[in-house]
Amino acid sequence: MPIESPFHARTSQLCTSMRWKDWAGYFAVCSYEPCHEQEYFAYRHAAGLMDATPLFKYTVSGADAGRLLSRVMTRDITKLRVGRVTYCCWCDDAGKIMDDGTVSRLDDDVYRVTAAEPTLHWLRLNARRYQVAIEDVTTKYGILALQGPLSRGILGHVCGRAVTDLRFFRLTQTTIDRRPVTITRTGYTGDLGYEVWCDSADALPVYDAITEAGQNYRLMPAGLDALDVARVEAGFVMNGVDYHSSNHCLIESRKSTPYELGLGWTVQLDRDPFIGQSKLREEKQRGSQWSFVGLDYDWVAFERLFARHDLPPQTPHGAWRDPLPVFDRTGRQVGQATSGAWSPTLKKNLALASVKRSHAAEGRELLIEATVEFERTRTPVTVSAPMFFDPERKRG
Amino acid sequence: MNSPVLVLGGDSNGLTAACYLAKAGRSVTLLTHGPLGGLASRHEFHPGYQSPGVLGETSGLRRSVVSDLQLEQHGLRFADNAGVLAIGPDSTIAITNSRDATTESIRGVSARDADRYREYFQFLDSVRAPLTQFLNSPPPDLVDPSFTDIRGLLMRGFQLRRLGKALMLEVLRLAPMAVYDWMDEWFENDLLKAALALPAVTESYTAPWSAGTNANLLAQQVTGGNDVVGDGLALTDALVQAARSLGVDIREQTVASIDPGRGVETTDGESISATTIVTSLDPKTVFLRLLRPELLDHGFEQRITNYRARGLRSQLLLAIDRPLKLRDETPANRLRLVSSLASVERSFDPIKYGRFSDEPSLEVYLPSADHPELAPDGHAVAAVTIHYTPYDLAGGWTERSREELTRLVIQQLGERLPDLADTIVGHELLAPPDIETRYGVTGGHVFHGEHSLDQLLVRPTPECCQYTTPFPGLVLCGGGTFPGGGLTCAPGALASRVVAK
Repeated sequence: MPIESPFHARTSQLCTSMRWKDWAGYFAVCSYEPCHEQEYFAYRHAAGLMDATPLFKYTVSGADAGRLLSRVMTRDITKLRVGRVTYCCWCDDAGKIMDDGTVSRLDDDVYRVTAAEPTLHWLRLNARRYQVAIEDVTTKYGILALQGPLSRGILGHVCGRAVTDLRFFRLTQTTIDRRPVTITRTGYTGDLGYEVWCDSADALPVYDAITEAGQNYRLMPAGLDALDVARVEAGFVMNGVDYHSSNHCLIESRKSTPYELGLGWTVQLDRDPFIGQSKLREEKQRGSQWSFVGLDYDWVAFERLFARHDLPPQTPHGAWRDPLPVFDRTGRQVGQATSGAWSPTLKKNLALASVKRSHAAEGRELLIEATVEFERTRTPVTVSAPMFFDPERKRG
Repeated sequence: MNSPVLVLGGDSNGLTAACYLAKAGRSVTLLTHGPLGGLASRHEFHPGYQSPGVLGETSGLRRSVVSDLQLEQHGLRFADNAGVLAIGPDSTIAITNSRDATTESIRGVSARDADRYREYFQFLDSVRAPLTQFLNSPPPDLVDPSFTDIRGLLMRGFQLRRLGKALMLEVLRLAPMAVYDWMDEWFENDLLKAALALPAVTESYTAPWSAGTNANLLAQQVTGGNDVVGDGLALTDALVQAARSLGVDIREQTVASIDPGRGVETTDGESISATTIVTSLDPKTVFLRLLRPELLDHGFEQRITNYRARGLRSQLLLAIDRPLKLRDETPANRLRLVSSLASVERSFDPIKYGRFSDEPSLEVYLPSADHPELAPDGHAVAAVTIHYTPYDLAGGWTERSREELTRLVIQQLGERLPDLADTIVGHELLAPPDIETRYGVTGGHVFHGEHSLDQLLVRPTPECCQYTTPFPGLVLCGGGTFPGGGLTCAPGALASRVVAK
């Protein structure tokens, strides 16, 4: 049975829909209201507050902490400066991705890692010969993701300039209601946003201070359903949905590499050896078999599918994650869409997909499977970059 | 390719590889951590008394190495009639190179076993050819076999088949067996069974009832020949002379780190460039201590970590004020103090729980007849090997646990060798961690890794089972490679072929 997050006393009061799910062993809210739409619009037009505590969290400290993380991660973590955060992934010896997450450098020899899956064992296995201490701090800290264009104002209200001046992928250590917190300017919505780490014991006062300050900013508690739509718009891959960790895959073809998932920018090849380096180098030289792309449905054609049955067009209620095959014009399967959503902001029906590199050029027309009135058919989509929504304010 | 070669390790395998490569025209520099000979080298353990080393037994030395390197011209001689004296609670058996003499000695305890001993060796003779051929050839790559590997495997299979169906099936039956069962099939006398089987079980975290131990026994019996006069130390001396005469540049320097394909750093701060590095150091030392961790793939690091090298042997060095008197007619300078295979098994049991037995199995080596220089005039040295003592003793190897083990061993020696106790004037106990420190072998494992079935053919890991490593220019040539540890010189000779290619 899942456990409660340290914010549960508040979130359980607010979750009138009673829509919960198990996220990494925690109770997590799908949507506070029966429908997630308001929460989605809070993310995009005001601010949403999400309990992100279930992320796996590790503190890696000691003289060799940077060396260990550089060995495990695709990025050279020794180059990460104190006060900065980086997004990266980690691979097995064959260069196949195992998970993705962030690394924050809190001090010279102190780092914090977030992961979607349990990673303690993997870090420890690779740390045998290093002077490091690796601690699983998943339950020690609560995380609140405060995301949306007004999030800066809210946090500025409770923390002052330490936060309003905080740049993209930087962190600051400050206080909220006299409780120590670490605030990173990161998030999973593709918008301006922050993640606030506090001791689990301080969770409720920190939650209260933020929600109180948020009253003047139309802050809403937001759940995972709204987040899922936002992350599809932002083109962020999700472990277990858009790719599968290599240590769960029974067959090779199900594994992916960072290059195949559009995460090649996180791979720094020309440095000290790291796990998967030689295979990733080969792939870089050879070229990847797969590309991660966005698919934009041809709305007119999509509407026509429904019109044949005298129906109005129906888009999925929220984000979907049941894979759909993708075909070229001749009907040959060239990939699969792994998740998608109707974007209320962009007014587009979108999907994220892995397609063969030969079919990944932007603007290329492909077909995606669609089922209307129990009839399985195909409808045209246009290949685009996966990052559909990328506002200036995210980085600015 | 004729580039210079850097050999790391001055033990018998390092020296052998250095000699072969120098003979093939390569310019060879050899770095040795301590005195040449490694586990078969001297050190003073008591004022005026020197140890003969931890490894002395040379019956597995490959004759091909002796002839290739002309070791007999460098002073090596084989003893015609040397061997082991098994001393039981109430009887003794001399097992020497002379089958007739051994048979007669066995007849003293069992007429049936004396006859069976002849048949036992007739059987070993009948299967010797394909097995020695197998043990003297580079191992096949079983994980990712090339055409040559497959052809080699087929050839080995064919040679085995030529024995005839019955013998072939018998060999296939024997390898995975426990020595206890096989010895039981042949003999009735407990002392004889234990004396023959002891060397097959002691370095592998196994005991007579452990499955797969028979493979070791077979390997040792079919490759065993006459001992070298002067044992391990004499072999070391001959190899050193051969190496020097072939122009090998021998330096006493300790390696601090290896940068494969580039060279090494020594502990005295020197950088030595070398594109080809051949090392007889144990695999765990090479990959987990001398190479930066970043260089290793996770899976490879995991496999090397899992490679088992848990030292079980301690050595009690005794300085004695007069040579030990044995039965006059016995040419043996090695004694095995055992009672039965069951007693060996009992001496093994406690190590599973981090303890040593109250009645350890003992072997005594008396080197002074061949090496009077080890002790002052009229005095002698005895090296007692103690099986089994765990590397990671529960509570640690404290002064107290060392004293307890020493007391136990001396008491036990006194029961079988009553003359010995009064002659002891000094001693030193080398527990597995001491062997690790003194000789630089991980876990204090004298064979550079256990000789269990899974670690014999694919040794130490699939990536390195044919001496090459995942790192171009870095080649293994020590006991941690096929066909294993001991003073055989076989890994050194086989590995040098890989480099020569």
